[in-house]
Amino acid sequence: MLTYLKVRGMIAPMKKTNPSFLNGVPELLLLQLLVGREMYGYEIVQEIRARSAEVFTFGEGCIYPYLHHLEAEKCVSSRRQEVEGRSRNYYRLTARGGKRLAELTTEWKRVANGVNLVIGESYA
Amino acid sequence: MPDYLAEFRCRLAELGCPPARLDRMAREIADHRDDLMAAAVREGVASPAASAEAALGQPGQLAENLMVSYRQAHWCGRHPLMVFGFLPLTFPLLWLACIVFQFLICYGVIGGLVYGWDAQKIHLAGDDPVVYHRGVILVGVIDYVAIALGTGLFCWLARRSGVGRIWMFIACLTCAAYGVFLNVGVDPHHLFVGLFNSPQHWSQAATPILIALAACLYQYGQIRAARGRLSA
Repeated sequence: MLTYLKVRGMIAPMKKTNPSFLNGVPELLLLQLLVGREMYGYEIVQEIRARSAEVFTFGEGCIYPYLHHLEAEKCVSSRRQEVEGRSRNYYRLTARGGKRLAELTTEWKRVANGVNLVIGESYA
Repeated sequence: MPDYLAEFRCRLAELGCPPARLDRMAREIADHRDDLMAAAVREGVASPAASAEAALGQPGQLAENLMVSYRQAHWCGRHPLMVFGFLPLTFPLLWLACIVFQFLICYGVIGGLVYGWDAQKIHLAGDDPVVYHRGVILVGVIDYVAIALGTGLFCWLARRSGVGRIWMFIACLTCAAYGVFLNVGVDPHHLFVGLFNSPQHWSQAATPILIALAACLYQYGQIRAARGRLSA
């Protein structure tokens, strides 16, 4: 019932509690990939898979809700471009996205450092 | 086997996705599917289309995820109770602003073009039964237009944020309830605006309902078109 209402838009999905690092990981990865170059959806999925040595394998369709969310927050912008007779939607990082990336990176390093300390203590 | 993209479009239309957004999402998914199929062909997969569609996931589920993300991107989508539940309670203020705006435009156009801003002519026109009769009709039109504009705003917000028909109807019902009591009228040399009930107000109350039904019919037409593609 709750799922049905959520899909119908009657109730808002559970709000993301960023900067919880687990929620912020896809956002962090997407923003980092878009530093310095434009990319389209398929390319982003392949790049994440390759650069993370297949640790992160996004569902192919799952990338778009994240990209659209980032676009709505003006962290990325998009434009359509004709490439080899096909019209692709390219995403690029904005200045706001750059700031967000810096915040997420700092947060991630802080949390990862904390986790490493705890793991280090346990295995010491 | 139903066409993947047609099924995806159909589900988006059912969920109330605005047409422009629907086209963009469908283009993007089609583009991604083509890339996946090309990769599958390169890898020598027996059924590239099935492989690509399996990687993308169920079209209905994908559409639902995208719509959740789309709603979250809009303030109205994040706070539907606030916008479509509580904000319509302020409908009289919106209605009044529309009335005043339209009245000023009419006064400016008629007073300027017909009477050349001659105060005495304008005053005398108020005593003319023909002018008065036209004034009554004009004020009636202004009233209906104000109700329609206010209701249209909520329908537009519901459509734009993709929150669905239920929220739109809730807002329109509130507007309709106010339509029973909101009234603007004219007497010679007087314009009155207020909240009171009279039998002819039921037609004003019906206006928001008719607008909501028209919006639903429009959306239903899009769903039918999407289903037509699906079955074709």
